[in-house]
Amino acid sequence: MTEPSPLRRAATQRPLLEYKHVCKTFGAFTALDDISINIYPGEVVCFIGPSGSGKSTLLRGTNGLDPFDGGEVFFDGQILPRKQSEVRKVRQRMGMVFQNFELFPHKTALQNVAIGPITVLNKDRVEAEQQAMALLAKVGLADKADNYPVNLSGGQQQRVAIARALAMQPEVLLFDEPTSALDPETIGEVLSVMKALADEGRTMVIVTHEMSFARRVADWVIVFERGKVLEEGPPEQIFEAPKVERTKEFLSHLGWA
Amino acid sequence: MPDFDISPILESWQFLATGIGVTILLSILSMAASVLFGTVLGIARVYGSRLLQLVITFYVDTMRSIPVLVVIVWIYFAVPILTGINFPPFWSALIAITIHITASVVEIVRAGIESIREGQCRAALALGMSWPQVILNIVLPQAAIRMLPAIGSVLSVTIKDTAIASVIAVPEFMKRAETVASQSYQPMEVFTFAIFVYFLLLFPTTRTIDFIYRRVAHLGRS
Repeated sequence: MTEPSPLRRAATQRPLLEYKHVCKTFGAFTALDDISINIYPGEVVCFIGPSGSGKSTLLRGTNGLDPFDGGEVFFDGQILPRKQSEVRKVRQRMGMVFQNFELFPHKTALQNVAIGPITVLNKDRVEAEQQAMALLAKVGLADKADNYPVNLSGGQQQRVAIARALAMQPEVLLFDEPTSALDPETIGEVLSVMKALADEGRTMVIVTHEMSFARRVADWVIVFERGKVLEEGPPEQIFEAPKVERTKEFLSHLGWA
Repeated sequence: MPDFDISPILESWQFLATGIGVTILLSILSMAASVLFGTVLGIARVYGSRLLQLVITFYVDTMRSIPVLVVIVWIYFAVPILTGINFPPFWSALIAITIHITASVVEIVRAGIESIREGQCRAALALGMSWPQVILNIVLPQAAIRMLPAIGSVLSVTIKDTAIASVIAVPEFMKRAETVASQSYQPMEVFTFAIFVYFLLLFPTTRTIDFIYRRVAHLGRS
């Protein structure tokens, strides 16, 4: 019997994200094979698993950037639309942070953070930049507001990217291996920003290879292998007493006993 | 070493100077029109329907296979016979050079757009931008920076191509130089002068673009 997270235990509320029988193939390769999982408001959910297990594919389909082939995603009770014009509205409510940061190189840190509200929400420039400044301060980069991405370290760029996602005031934050492209010494600064966001009670879905971070911060951990959910549960269960043998093997590969 | 007599140039300086003015005007107008049309067609070449892409590719390939001289004389001599519409020489040259240079700009814009990493578009889409917003705010500004060196070399080709307009008697600098040379029987002096004038027009132009590019290049790297 799986011990639910406190949020799940109290879950009379409906999930914020509900994946139902999601499938995706790339040619002959089955990336996602009938995935059905839930993510509840306020939860921090970590997707872990070996490379090619489907965890990133599932995340990227969530905002329709790489649509699924089959199955459905419900966001806040609404089915994720397939039409570009409609899925845009949903994307505005989801923040996404990429492995390679993808800051816009022709804009300063401040402009990177402000561009979403200005172009998408038609916010007043001054107001958007004030908000952007506050967000940069929140990720500890107020003094870098006028720097272009080329003049920022990887860790700093990723923190700006997090601020850029926050600027849209999203209801869920999707992190696609946010620390995989970083130097070891800058991983910590990004993870501590993410920890602070988790402590605010934000809903976060994180694809990660940082097991100690997942152990410490996640409310719920989902283990993927070959496009399927191998096991899901609270971090204590996954990391201390996994119920599935393959989970044990995967974790012991990474140095977790 | 023959005597170098620059008196015909000095005597006709106003005549030659207005020619330089026409050359500059023709260059600026052709370049502005080519960049405008080339950008629009370049965007359509990348994002347009299959049919539109095919038509634009055909146009680009056609213009690459035809000398600009042929396009100029065709528009000046053949179009009036075919359509009854008569363009004055300046306009014929402007249209012909624009049609020809636009094809080069289309390819530069296409390459510029395609060089922008897909992740940049994904990041912008993830914020909720529409495709037009992504192209306008994210793709084109970065592509423009990367395109600068290539646009600079097309600009110098454009300025040089305007000399071909002399064949349809556009009163630009080359035409004027020919007139002065034949009237004074001193082609050596006059055409040597012409070389200097073109060099003085082009060298600073290409240097300036190169200078600007070196200042902004880092903003186009993602």
